[in-house]
Amino acid sequence: MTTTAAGTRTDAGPAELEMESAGDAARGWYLYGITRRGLLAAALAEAGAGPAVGAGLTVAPGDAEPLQLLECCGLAAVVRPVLLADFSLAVLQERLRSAPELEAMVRSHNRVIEAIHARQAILPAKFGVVYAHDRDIVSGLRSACDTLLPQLHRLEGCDEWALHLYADRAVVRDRIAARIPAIGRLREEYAAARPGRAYFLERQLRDELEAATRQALVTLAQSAFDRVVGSALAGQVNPVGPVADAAGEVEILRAAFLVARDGAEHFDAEVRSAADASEGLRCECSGPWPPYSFAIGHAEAAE
Amino acid sequence: MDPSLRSASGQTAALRAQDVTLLDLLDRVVDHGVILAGDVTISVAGVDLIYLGLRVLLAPVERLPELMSRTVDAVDAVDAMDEERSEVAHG
Repeated sequence: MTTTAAGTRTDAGPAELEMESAGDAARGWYLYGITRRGLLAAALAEAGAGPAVGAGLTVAPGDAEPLQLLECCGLAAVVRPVLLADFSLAVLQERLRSAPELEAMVRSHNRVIEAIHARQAILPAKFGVVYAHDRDIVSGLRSACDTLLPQLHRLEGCDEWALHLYADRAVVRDRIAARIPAIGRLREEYAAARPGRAYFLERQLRDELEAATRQALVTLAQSAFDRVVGSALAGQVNPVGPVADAAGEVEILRAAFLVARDGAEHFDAEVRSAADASEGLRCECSGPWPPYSFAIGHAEAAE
Repeated sequence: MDPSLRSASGQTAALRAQDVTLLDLLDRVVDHGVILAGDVTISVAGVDLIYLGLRVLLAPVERLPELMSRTVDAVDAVDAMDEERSEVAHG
């Protein structure tokens, strides 16, 4: 294996890799993502300038090992040598207790990916994956290059945006109640009923109103997604939180969208329109993110 | 610079913005992303624990029981893995 001044390692023979791994058993390779071959050394140095994931957080950023590229088949894996001991289950479990440190680790991972994403397309790696041998990463690139290269091509010039759509449940329920004739009739019957029958009518009214409200929220979420995805290259619906907050607001849609940078204004306008489409809706949109939700691994791509 | 959060009106939403962007970050960084096929990867189970732990710390109070139970399940799974390793090591 050869290491250039730019920190780039090119495809190497198995024997050479074996020697290096055997001589340095305590080191692993933290994978940030996969990009096209040819990333400039200056860009790599800039991306790696912040605090490193793992033990690097407890020392000055300059003490962490620099980022490297492992290249194969036109692809480059962005990696950083780490101590395997810093990623043992015992250490990770200990860190589970410190939210600020864990948040810093996640942000550190994202910072490297963002810096490269700003220059060229990158397939982000899942957080916290450490390979014991760099040869595993190189062979992974070799076996997956037929699916990874087209993905990178597709993601070039694109960002991911996260959308949350919230609804005020009471507002939606009242609107539905006013629109559905059967509920109006039930209300009239209830108002005129004697106490015994009124009890059952009240339960029926409550159940029907609840079912109609649930359906209305699903319809609102679906029509908002349909509207926004029309301005994106792809969209993905994610699970929402199941409960309303203290103000009675419930999240009805959580979605990710892949948006071309030159279409960002159109996307933004459609998000606003979706929120304005009905009373009681509110949108939150975060981004631009690297395309985490639209990068798929080798196994998934092969299915 | 981290991604920003905008309300539908296009204004920066200072309230809860940090929490929402952190949750969005976790949803992306931990739940998604490429894992290259390889013979040896480590840390994935531990990272799932981290993810669950952070979600517990950030979640609304109403969701805590559900998330805590998932965390306990994950801890049990990791303990079981440790026991298996120990058996292999001593077996």
